[in-house]
Amino acid sequence: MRKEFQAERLKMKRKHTFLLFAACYGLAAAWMLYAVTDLDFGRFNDFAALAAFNLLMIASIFSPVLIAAYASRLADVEQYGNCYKWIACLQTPASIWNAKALSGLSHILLYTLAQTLLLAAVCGYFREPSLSLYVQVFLDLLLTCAALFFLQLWLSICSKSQLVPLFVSIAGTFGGIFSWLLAFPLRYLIPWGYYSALCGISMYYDQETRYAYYAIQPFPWAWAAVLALAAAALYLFCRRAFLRQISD
Amino acid sequence: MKYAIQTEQLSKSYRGKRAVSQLSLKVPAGKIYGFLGPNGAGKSTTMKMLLGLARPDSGSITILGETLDSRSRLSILEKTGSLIEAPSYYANLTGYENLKITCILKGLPLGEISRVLGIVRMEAQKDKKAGQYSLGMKQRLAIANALLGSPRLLLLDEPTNGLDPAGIHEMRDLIRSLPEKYGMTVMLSSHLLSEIEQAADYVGIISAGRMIYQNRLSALRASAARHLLLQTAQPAADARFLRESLQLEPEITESGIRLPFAENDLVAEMVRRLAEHGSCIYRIREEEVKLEDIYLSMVKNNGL
Repeated sequence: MRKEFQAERLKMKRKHTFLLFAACYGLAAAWMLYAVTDLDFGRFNDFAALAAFNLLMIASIFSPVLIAAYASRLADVEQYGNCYKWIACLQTPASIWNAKALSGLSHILLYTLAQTLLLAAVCGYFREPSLSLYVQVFLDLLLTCAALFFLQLWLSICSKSQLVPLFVSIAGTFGGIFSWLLAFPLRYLIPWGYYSALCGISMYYDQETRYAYYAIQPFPWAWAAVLALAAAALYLFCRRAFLRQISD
Repeated sequence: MKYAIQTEQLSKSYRGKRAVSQLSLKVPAGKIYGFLGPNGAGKSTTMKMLLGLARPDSGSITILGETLDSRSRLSILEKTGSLIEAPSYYANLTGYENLKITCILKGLPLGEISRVLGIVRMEAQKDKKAGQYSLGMKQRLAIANALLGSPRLLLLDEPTNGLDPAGIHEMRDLIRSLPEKYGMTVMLSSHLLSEIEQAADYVGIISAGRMIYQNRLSALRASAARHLLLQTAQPAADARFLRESLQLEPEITESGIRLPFAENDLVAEMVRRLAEHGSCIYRIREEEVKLEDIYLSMVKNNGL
């Protein structure tokens, strides 16, 4: 597997994936800092919950398109130069797929960790840290991003034009943003809506006082399990599509 | 004779449509084997099965003495280089980096890269991105890729596709030199007879998924000889008369009686005897059957 990983890293050379992730992370960090630096902290009952809520909303705006662009690059390097059959003659197709999937997942994992650390840094710097909340946010981001990654990779492998999966992700992003306003069960119906669906924080806006109250709720483990199963199913779809490219 | 590739009754169908049917292929070791057939005859499917990219429905494949299955596939592919369909390349990587991918995945030393770049004469372009290469350069890069690790067997599927005449000539020279210089066996597929004719020692002709001819190319050339064509009023009766009286082997075709080429004395004797027999001779002429005509008639007789 080491050889396949090494090859996978080389394949992505000059694809500027690091810049993609860095740009999205930079934007998310700037937005987070802008949102909290000028706050009257006395008005908020739970600053950590507010920060986590903010981070997940920002993630639902930037992450889907970032993931789509990354998945598209992963698929496109092979599609553009007709590489499937060539590389399948050098190693077993399954091991090449595994390296690609693991390489993609490791990027998602690192990005999710970096976002969680951003939340921890903001909470720790401005107010109180909350380890259980960080774990919740980490799980929300990781599961949603992983499911979206395999969905987008599947679309990218199956589509001749990489514009199709990109447009799907843009439409999905809008769906994901609006899902923050949707009640049960609508927000559970689209994968892009799971940033809000797994967000274990409730917000109540009091129109009279014009105060927003945040409260941390139990993590929706059942829905997290549903999403994990969906991610596993998408992984299998994706694997089959990749292997089919080789045998067709 | 020692064979580098041997298949037994190889068959493959796609969605109920037979692509390859009971194909028994014999590729002699150290030779260039031309795998010839019209588009859609089953050449690429056969090549894919030989590389383990497609699983046969039935039959067996033996490559370099090992039976191809999921366990032996990688060890066979370590000794095999291939170019399947269009040339493959990572457009964002340089020529050198593309070859490095193969070295990494095959576990070969990076020193191999400069050796194969030298063979295909691409040292000067190695640092250019493959996406910016011309089609000819991409083909050469693909050949260089196939040559990495000095494989004992090379499978090349339509390697001259899309090349200009100079590129075709260069590619042909390179392929022809491989068995002699490096002891490789080359299996070369093409839908162009002229390509195979100029490069191969052996030829296998496939049509509608079935092998319709397999032998030395020289044997096929031998059948592409001159003939005599005799047009008479009653071809069937006259052919029978020539067979009985002169022990010739006439063949009745649409255009008349076809006879093996004969010297002047025999032709004069034949005409005299036919005249005495009362045959009405309209015309007698020489006919040259080209290799291409034989190939086309074979393919046509097989229904493609």
